[in-house]
Amino acid sequence: MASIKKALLFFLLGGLFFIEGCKKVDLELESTELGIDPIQHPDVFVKLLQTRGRYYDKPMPQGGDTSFGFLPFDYPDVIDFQKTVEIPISFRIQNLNNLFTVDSVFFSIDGSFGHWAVPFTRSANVVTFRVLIPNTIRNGEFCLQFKALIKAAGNRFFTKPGKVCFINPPPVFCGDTLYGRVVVTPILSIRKMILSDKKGPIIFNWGSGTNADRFDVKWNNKFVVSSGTLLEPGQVPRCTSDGFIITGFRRTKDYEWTEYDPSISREITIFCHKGCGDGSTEWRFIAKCP
Amino acid sequence: MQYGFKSIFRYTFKHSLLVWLLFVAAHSSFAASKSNDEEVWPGKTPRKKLGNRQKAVSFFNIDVFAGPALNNASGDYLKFQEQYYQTGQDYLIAGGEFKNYFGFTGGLAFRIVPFWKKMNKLSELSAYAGIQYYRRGFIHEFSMENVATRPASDFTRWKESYSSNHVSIPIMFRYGSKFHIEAGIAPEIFVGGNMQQIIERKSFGTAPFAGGFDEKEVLDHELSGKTMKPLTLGFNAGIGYNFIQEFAVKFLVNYNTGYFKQEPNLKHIQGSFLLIYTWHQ
Repeated sequence: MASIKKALLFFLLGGLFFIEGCKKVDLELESTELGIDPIQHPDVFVKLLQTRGRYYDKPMPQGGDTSFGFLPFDYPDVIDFQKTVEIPISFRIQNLNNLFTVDSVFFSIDGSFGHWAVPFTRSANVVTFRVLIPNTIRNGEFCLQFKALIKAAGNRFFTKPGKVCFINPPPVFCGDTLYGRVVVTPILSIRKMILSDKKGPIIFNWGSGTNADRFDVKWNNKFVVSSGTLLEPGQVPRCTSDGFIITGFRRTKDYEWTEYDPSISREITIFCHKGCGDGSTEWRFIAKCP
Repeated sequence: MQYGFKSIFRYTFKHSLLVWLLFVAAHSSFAASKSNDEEVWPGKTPRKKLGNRQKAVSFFNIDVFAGPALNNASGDYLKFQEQYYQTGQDYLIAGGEFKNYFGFTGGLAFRIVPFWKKMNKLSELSAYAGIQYYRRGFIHEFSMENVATRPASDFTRWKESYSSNHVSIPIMFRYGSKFHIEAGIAPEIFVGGNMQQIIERKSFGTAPFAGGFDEKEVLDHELSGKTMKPLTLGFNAGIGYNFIQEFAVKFLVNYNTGYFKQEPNLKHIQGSFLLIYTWHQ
């Protein structure tokens, strides 16, 4: 009788662990960050994008008039999503005269099933489009595919698709070297850095190769350091597309410093803008904490 | 009570059922050998001749226990997740909360009562070691509202649930007989788990663009040594009551400061209400 009781015990306890071991799971969790991996789950990630449009759980409309391009320009390539980031992306519509209207813009994530449709009623061959990437995205790279629906002379047709890719890098810390290499586009890189927990002066070193670049550092929602004129809190370094001409491009190594208090904020945002009209460039940025 | 009966059933009932079946089976076989003898407790003078009832309290005992648990998580990791509420955009409002997790505790302990024959205060001291299983976790729910789409409503809702399984080897000391208290340490080994994400995105209300939409995704991820700390040290304390000689109930509290492999980390307090069956050898 005793052996039966023991067998029963081990059978039941074994069954308990068996039930636990048989749970169905999809993928191994790689990070304890909150959010979605944009590479593994593009279908989910696309639904998290914030824009004033409608999500459709079906593929983007096929086809497009190959004569008409929808070419993105002036967007950042590297963005840090520790906070939600709104990405302005401008598009030029090629080979069209002024007798057209952009009816709507369609976009999806590379590898995703569904897509978004955003209404537009604008007659211009440059469309500035904003899509907000929530901070609930893990580190990784992803690409947005766009096409526009054009109304011209009573006809409707899609443009050729355009594509922009972004990198959401792992967080960088004080002392790490930020490095960027840009070929033609994009012209703006935005990165975030976590600083130390000590109060005191903080020194920022930067340097550009090939062509001069502009550097701006934002802390506590204010620009605190710049290689040019300090910007207002709501501004983003941009070239002339929105009427804001920036200066302060420097080619050689330089440094600036500011007083830093970790109790206010331990996070800075670094903007590196390549020279308006320049081709390629390389840049480095280092922060030296107290 | 969003996690009322459904969660209790899901996380505890199926586990408890197995082990309580064990109790019933074991008790029925034990009952056959049990007469109408009066209960005898160490430290108390028996009112009747002990006779064969002496076997009921013995040097060596095996405790089998199981029951539902409520797990509360705290620590820097929760603050880290709260940072996601700062969207940096006026039109995207985010907020959320952390919820307790209904878990499970069960196991087997080998307990010795070194002074069991003395029938004095010393006889109430015992020590045990064994194997103990914990199911624990935490739940984070948060939402974002895009107010730029008003008067239409645009909500994104998240629910992340961590559920993990741990096996520990508790080394515990107990004092008392009918009422007893106990405390000790419990080295814990992570043996598996999963993290579930439920994401809902909904555009609705007054004139949403093109009729709005309603989407839901459920993702399951396996927890492994890549993210979880394989070995941690927990601390246990409990209070119990033997309502009949071979059955007892116990409220056990387990405290553990390690969960993830990397900082920021979680702390757990798990309160378990356990039913215990004891074999007196």
